[in-house]
Parts: sequence; structure tokens; C-alpha cells
Amino acid sequence: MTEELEIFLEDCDDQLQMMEDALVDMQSNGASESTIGTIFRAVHTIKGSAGMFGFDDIVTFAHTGENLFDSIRQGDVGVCEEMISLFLLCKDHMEVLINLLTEDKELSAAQKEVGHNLIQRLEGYLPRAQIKEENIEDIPSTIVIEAAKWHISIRFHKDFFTTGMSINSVFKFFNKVGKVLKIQPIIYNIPSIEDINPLHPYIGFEVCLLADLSKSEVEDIFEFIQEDVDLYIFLCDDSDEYNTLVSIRKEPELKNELINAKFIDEDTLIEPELIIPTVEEKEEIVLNQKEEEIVLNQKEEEIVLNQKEEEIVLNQKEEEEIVLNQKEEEEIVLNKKEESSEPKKKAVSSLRVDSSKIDILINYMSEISITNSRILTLIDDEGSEIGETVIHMKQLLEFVSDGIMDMRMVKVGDSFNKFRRIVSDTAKKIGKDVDFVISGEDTELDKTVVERISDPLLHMLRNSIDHGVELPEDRVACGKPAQGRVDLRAYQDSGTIVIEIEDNGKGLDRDRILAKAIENGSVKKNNNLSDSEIYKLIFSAGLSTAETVSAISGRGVGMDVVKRNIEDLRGSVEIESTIGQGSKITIRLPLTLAVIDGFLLQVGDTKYIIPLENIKECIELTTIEQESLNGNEFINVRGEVLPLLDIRLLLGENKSITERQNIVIVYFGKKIVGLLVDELLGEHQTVIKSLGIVFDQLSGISGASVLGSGEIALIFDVARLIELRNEG
Amino acid sequence: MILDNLTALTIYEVETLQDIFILALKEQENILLDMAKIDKIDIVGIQLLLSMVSTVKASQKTIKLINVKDTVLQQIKISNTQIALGLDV
Repeated sequence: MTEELEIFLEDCDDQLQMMEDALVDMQSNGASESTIGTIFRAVHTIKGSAGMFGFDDIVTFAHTGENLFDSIRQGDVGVCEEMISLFLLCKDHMEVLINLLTEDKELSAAQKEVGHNLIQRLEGYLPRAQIKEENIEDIPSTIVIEAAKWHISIRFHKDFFTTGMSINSVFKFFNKVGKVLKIQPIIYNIPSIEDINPLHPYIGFEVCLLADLSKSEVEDIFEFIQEDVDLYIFLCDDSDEYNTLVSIRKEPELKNELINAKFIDEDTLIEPELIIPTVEEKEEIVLNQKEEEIVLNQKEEEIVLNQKEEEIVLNQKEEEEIVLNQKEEEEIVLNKKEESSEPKKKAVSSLRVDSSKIDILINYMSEISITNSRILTLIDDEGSEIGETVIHMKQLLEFVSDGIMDMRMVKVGDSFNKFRRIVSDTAKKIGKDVDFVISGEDTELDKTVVERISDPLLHMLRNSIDHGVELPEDRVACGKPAQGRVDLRAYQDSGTIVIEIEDNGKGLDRDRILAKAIENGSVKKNNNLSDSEIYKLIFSAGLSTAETVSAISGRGVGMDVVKRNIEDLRGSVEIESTIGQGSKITIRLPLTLAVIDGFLLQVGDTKYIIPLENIKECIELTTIEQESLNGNEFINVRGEVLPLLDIRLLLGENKSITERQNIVIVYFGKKIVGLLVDELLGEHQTVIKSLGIVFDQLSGISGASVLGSGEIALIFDVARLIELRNEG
Repeated sequence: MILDNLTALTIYEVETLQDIFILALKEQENILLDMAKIDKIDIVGIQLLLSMVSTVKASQKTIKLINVKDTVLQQIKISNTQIALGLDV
């Protein structure tokens, strides 16, 4: 797959999501100018880009949709609920068409039929005259009202052919957005067969296009190849522009070519050598041609300047000040950059990077950190000059590491908004009226976590709507408003991300869950389970209390998978519920999966790491306290009873060679436990490595990290350790 | 000259074809390029054909493309290069 095609597919993904968001918004808030505009632009962009690649199926389909939305925009057609539902189906079909491209598959007969039916239904809403005109072949497919004649001069950069892009697709697309009046191939630059490099483009084109498009819309057609072509676009009736074209192309044969192809009369064109541009014109031409180079040079200069500034600062200040000053300098330079490049801000504000590239960076970064730690352990004297340099390097590496990790952080909002439609469809399907409220969209979370939490969230949302929220008539009978409410919220809480799904439905039936669990043998009859523990039974495999099995949920398959997925992410899940008032599912997740600030300690012969964010405090046990503990599972800490978990016993570690024992008080959410360990070794920047499938079932351990000494330290999964302690 | 081993004239074949053309140019006075087996062409192939046609003409020899399939002709027509290639359409 070429880079351009990948960009196209990513762009389509974004456009389809925008379209869906706008349609769902329309469903709940009615059509507005802004939502109509968003949908029209999304369809228009997909059509334009698909046309560029010659994906005719997508173009044809999107074209009908675009026409309908154009009519809506013009006020010729009104929006109704059926139309919105139809457009959601169209969005799905476009997704299918685009996915087929990704998989390099052909459209099946059934899919063709679906597309055909959808087009017919769309056309049913179109004004008659428009359909009639659409059915005439070989005429511009967009109705040209005030069409302009555009001259497009195209030359290709050296690598154009090897990008895999097809200029013929562009020409075909011209006929979809307007009518090509003339195409003149420019062949005089093609070398002889002996001299030609067949992979380099020498051919060029002069095109006259009649279309109801603005100049920027014509330029947009070339969006995906703009970096590989040299374009000059102007209105055909501007004869001065032809003179400029001849002048800037510096091709002596071009003038005759334009005259012979009847783009312009002989009299209109001045001899190229007689064209003497004014100083301003010259500057403008040079500026246009060199714009990219200048921007690049400026960037290079800025980089060099920044590096120099950093060097000066490094030589002047002491370590702690250095860090502060660097930040300040960066901010100043950034501010300066923002001020000086304000008009270009949009163009450089974001950069699409394949997430696998960031993963590779993280991996290398972790190796560098490990190597640096190793150097530090090899240096006897940390106070020596080399020792200080390595420590400084360690600090800088942490900055770089934080920066890279930050790149992986994405706002959960994009993922959450995708649920809007599913919630709306699900509710509609089972006759429920649900107000779906999302909050905390700006909360950031590691991209991998966001991706892996998406399915579990969807499953829980469906459950909330299907089993939680009651039917409107039942709600009214209970004295509740007919419309139910489901909240999806995200926020940060003490180094973790909390995601809550709360509904104001009927709540979980504690007794029914317990009875079902006893019936299928997951729980003994004489148990002593708390409400919270009973609610958590809904995460057991095969336990569904739903009276009816629907297409949406109720088979008891899935909630166990949900819990496992959350635990795989080092997260935890809690349920609160009140009969008649609703339920709340709280999911806690770590901010990131790759690098954490850890606390290194030793138990027996093994080193362990606890995520720093889970540590409340450390207490050193005196010999008397150790003796008084004498196998107790609780300890009194300043008047509070603290449950203890002896790691040595839990993991079968040897007795410590040291006499010292410590308690590390850890917490996850509202739960707290004291871990009984041997030695505390201090903070450690921890790069999490997977233990692989062999140790997949190892409870309480989430991964491993390589220490500077080359030793392996195991990382505690605090949420699981707390659960193990509570399970006894 | 029949392009026996080729069914397409695209970016993947142009380098091989350039060698074939150079050889043909040395050995033949009047070149008849039988395109019967060519099903596919792209702008890279079209450019190579244009180079060949103009080279042959410049050396006072002749070249004619024959048996051009409709699919190929369609692509040539999109770029409006049929006249430069001497195709009677």
C-alpha cells in the first residue's frame, strides 16, 4: 500500500467519523447549518479523494449523497428522520467500500445490490430535474451553474511515477467534477529512447477544465499528489496568465504548443523573451517557486539556533537550573515560532505518524535507559565528572522518554463519540428512549489502552441500555421520566484513569445474581459475600440474569471477557448499584502501558517493582514489631487496621539474608493493603517488558523490567495483589 | 515486432521494454509494434511509447502501433496522446 493510499484511508476514516457524529447529533438535536455543512464536506472530500485514486465505486456512491446534501444545503430538500437513518446506512456502505480497498477485494454482488438500493433511496429525495440530468451519460456529474474555465498546467516531480499515483485517474475525475474541454500532452521534453530514464516523468499536460469550482477546490483535487507535481492554475480568460505560464515554465516550445492546441491566439501571447516582469512580479514568482525551500530553510535555521541556544545554556548553568532554563528557553523559542509563523500555524499544527513508529522509538528509548543505568552501576564514583554526566544523561533521557510517551496519549473523546450511534441504534431497536451523556472527552490515555478498552466499554454500554434502562412505559409507571439516561465519563484520579458508565435504570438485582451464581455452581450456598462481591459475579463466565436473550445482550458471554480485557490492561472494575435507581460501573486503568515510575524493592532473592502511583507510604518494621507481628494478617498503623500481604509467602521466596523488613502501603482505587517486603531500594524509571505467554497466568505480576545491572525485576500488578489479599 | 512476453506496459515493464526498443531501433528500419497481447498500460508506459515514436521518427525510420486493444486505447485517449502515438482513432 502506498503512503498516499494510507493517508487516503486514514482521511476517509476521519471523514466518516465526522459524518457519523454529525448525523447522530442531527438525530438528537435536529438538523443545523453546521451539521449539514459537516456532512456535505465529509462526503465531498471522500468523493474528491476517491476520484483521485480512480475508485469509481466510491465516487459514484458518494456523488449521489453529495447531491442530496447539496440540495439540503440549498434549502430545496428538507431533512427528515428517515433520511438521517438512510444516511447512516450510506455511511456504513461507504465504510464497506473503503474497507474493501484496504483488503484489496472486489465488491460482491450483494454489496453492489446494497449500494444500488441506497442510491435509489437517496435519489427518491432528490428534486426530479436533478435526477434526470444525472442519468445522462458523459455530462458533468455536478450541475454546473456558474462554471468557470480553468487552465491547469501540470508538470511532475522526478519521483512522481514511483509514488504509484495515476494522473489518468485525475483526468477521469476531472470529468466527474466538471467537463474537460481540452488536454494537451506536453511531450517535447521526453528524451530519446536511448537517453530516457523510463521511471522519471518528462511528460506534462496543459488542461482546460470547465467546472463549478473555485481555484482552491481545483487545487484540492491534487491534494494527494501536491508534493509531487508542479501546478499552475488560472482562469482561461486571463490572457496575462498565459504569458506568466510561458515565462515561468521556461520551455521555448510551450508558446507554440498552447497556440497550436488553441488554448490562446497567437496575438495574445508575447514572445517569452519580451516578457519583462516587474520587480514585484519577479519576487512573487520566485517566492511562489521557492516557498517550500524557504520554509524548510527557516526550519533548519531554527533548529540550529535552538541547538546553539541549548549549548550556551548548558555551558552556563548548574544542573537543576539547566533543566529549568531549558524549559523556559523552549517556551520562548516556541512562542517566537508561533508569533513568526502564525499564518502557517494550521499547516504545521499536527503530524500524522504511524503508531508503530512510536512503539519502535519507545523500545529503543527503553534500551538506551537500560544501557545508561548499566553505565551508572559500572561507575564506582557517582560524584566524579563522568558520574555526574551519566546522571545528567539519565535526567535528559527521562525528558525524552516522557515526550515520546506523551505522543502516545490520545483524547478519549474520539473513541467515546463513536459510541453515540451504537447507543442510539441499540436504544431504538429495543424501543427505549435514552439520553446518552459523555463527559471528560479531553482526558488523555495511552492509544493502546484506548483501543483495547473500546470493545469492553461498548459491551457494558449495550448491557446498560438493554438490562439497565427500563422501557419508557415502565419508567413512567415507577414515577421516573420516560427518557432514561446513560452517562459515560472519564477523568484522572491519582495516577490512574477512571472511566464510569452510569445509568438511572432499574439497578442490579442482588438476590437474582446470587441465586443464579449458586445455581450454576460459581458460588457456594453458605457464602458471606458483600454486595459489591455479588455484583461482580456478573463478570463470571456464563452468568446472565436476563430474562430474555436478545440480539444485543443477555447470553452471559462477554462480561467475563470484559473483565479479563480490563485486567490485561492492569486495570480494575467495580460495580455499585441501587435497586430502582441504577448502576455504576467504575473502571480504573493505568495511564500508560509502556514506561512507569517504579519503586524497586527486594524480597528473598528477587527484585520487584511497584508502580510509584500505587504507593501511599513505606514503613520500616523494627525487630520488636517484626516479632510482635508473628504471622498476623493485619497491623495497626496509627490507629487504623491495615490488611497485610506477605510477598515472601505469596510467591514462595527464600528467607531474606537481611534482618530488615518493611511494609509498603499500596492502594488501587479505594482499596488499600500493606505489602510485607525485605529491602527498599528506591525509585526506578521502569520500562515494562512483557513476560510472554508462558507466564501469562502468573497472578499479581504484570510484567518485568531489566535493571542497569542486567538483573530482571518483576513488576507487581497492584490491583490483582489487593484482590488476592481480599480473596485470602 | 510482437511484444511476446509482455501483457502490460506499465512502470513494472518499462525498463525491460526500453532495452527491447533500443535493440529494435538498431536492427529494424520499419518497426511494426504489435500490441495484441498488451492488456494494460499506464502513463509510464505511454511516455516510453512516445519516446520510442519520436526517436524512430527522428532517425528517419517508421513505427506503427497495431492491434491496440480497447482497454489500452482508452487509457491512451484519457491522456490525449493517441495522435502523438500515430494511432488512427
